[in-house]
Amino acid sequence: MRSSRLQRVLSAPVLLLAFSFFAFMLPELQGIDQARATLLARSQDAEPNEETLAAISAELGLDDPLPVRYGRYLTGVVQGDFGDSNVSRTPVWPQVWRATIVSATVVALAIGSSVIIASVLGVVAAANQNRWPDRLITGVSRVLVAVPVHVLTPILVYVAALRLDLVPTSGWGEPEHLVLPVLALALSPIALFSQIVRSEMLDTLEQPYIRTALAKGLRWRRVVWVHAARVSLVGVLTLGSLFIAGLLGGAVIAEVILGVPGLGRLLHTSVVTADVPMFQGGLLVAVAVGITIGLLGDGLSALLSPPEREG
Amino acid sequence: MRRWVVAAGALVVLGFLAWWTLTHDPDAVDLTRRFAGPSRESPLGTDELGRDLLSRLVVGGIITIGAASLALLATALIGTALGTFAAWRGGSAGSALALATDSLVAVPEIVVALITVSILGTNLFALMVAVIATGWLPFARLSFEIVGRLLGTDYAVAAQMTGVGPARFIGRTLLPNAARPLVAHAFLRFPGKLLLLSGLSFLGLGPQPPTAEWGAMLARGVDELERHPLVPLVPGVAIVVTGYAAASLGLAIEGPIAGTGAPSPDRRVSAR
Repeated sequence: MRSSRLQRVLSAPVLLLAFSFFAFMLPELQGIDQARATLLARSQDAEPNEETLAAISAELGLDDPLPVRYGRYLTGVVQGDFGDSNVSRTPVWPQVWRATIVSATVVALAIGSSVIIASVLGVVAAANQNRWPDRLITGVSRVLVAVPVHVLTPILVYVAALRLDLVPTSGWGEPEHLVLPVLALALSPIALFSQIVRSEMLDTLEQPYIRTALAKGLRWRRVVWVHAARVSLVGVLTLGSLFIAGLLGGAVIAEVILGVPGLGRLLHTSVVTADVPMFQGGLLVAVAVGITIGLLGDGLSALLSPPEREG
Repeated sequence: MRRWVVAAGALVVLGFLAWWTLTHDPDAVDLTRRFAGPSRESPLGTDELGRDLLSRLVVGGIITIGAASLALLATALIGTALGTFAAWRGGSAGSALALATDSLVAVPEIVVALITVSILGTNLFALMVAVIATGWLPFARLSFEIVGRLLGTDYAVAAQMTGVGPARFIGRTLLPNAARPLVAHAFLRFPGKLLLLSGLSFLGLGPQPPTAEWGAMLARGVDELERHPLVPLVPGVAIVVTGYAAASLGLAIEGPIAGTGAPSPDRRVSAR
């Protein structure tokens, strides 16, 4: 059951538009009075009089009909104007942008390193099937897959930062601040990917052409690392790209614990502080990034496996 | 024989835990016994308010596992209903579902979950809705594929030719044959739901204190990680063990898939 690639490409802007409407409607759904919230943010005025509220409503254009307001919001978003944060009272967009760059750095490092490490581990495990390297890698992986980021991150902090004092417990700005977030996000994909590479490698090693290569007298090591590995790693590359959007979930938790000023923490903070414009901006960017990566992953899988099976 | 021993042992442990929790209030604060180590009065020690960790672990387990299971059940039913309907009707209903699942899969799960929480507030119900809102996609996809395949089998064609009604056909012919992979898939998805639920709760977006919920217990315990590692360790280990057990159960139910040895495409993303 697959939709055509053209359908998926065309559906992306539609989905994004739907989410923009959803984001726009959020204050209504949450039952937040935007005039009150804005006033509270500007002047700490918790008990405003009717006149001030009316003035704010007029200023924000809250009295206009819904389509007009949505049109105005959408025009702003397209021009990079997501409104002002209710907390910091500064424009949302630069903050969301900075946070996105931070998260992108962490997630890219995590996914990149996990694909590389998992490929090596998976090939080693498959080449030594049922011997100790395989048992070790498979055993550790099966446990690690079940360890969520919110359990893993405190353990990493405890071991690497508090006990061994190798890296700072939290913060951002220096290269060493990257270590814990990347580790926290990469370990679970490493475990999962290595198992997938392993099973694909085992499949590949059964193929006739591998037997042929061995029969021709090629060395086992060369057959494993060149002939078999090249075929088996295609799947994990596309899977890696699929995984990026999923990693954002873990990124929220890791960023909050480790004090990384990324998109995940921005979303979390904006929910906790009920900072509606910030949340709207963050979620639109997160969805846009997710959709873009999905399309890129689609393209990557098409490039890597031209005779893609339909059905 | 050995299985019966294990089962009987598990019953005894469960019985003991139930008795313990009934006789030891999980929310009873005792400030004179903050962070007490394991002892006869509290086998796992106490937390930052002197509450018994063992009874909080049990109550938290009922809340966490119960909420995750209920939400998973609901989302599996919704997804399966959609997938079965789309496969049954075929044509544009099928392609509409294919397009919907293919494009919605790009929306990060956590974003949907945070939206849900921001609308419904920080409580257990909101977390369950978040799980339901994000969880139906893979079930719709899987049931669509399975039912689509079943519709082509001889016995399905034969059943249709005898003129049974659609309800009977779906209920008696299709679903019994689709049940096993779907149930296995539900168990394989369980860890992900458990992690989403306890993760959101960990971030303070779930049930508020003093509710014993594993994610929330872990979050409170992490503050004391250095001096009292047992306090965060207990809920942390509970989350990992539960997720691992559910995944293993799912693999056992699923059985070897058609002897390929390769994980099915759906299992590959199950850790998300």
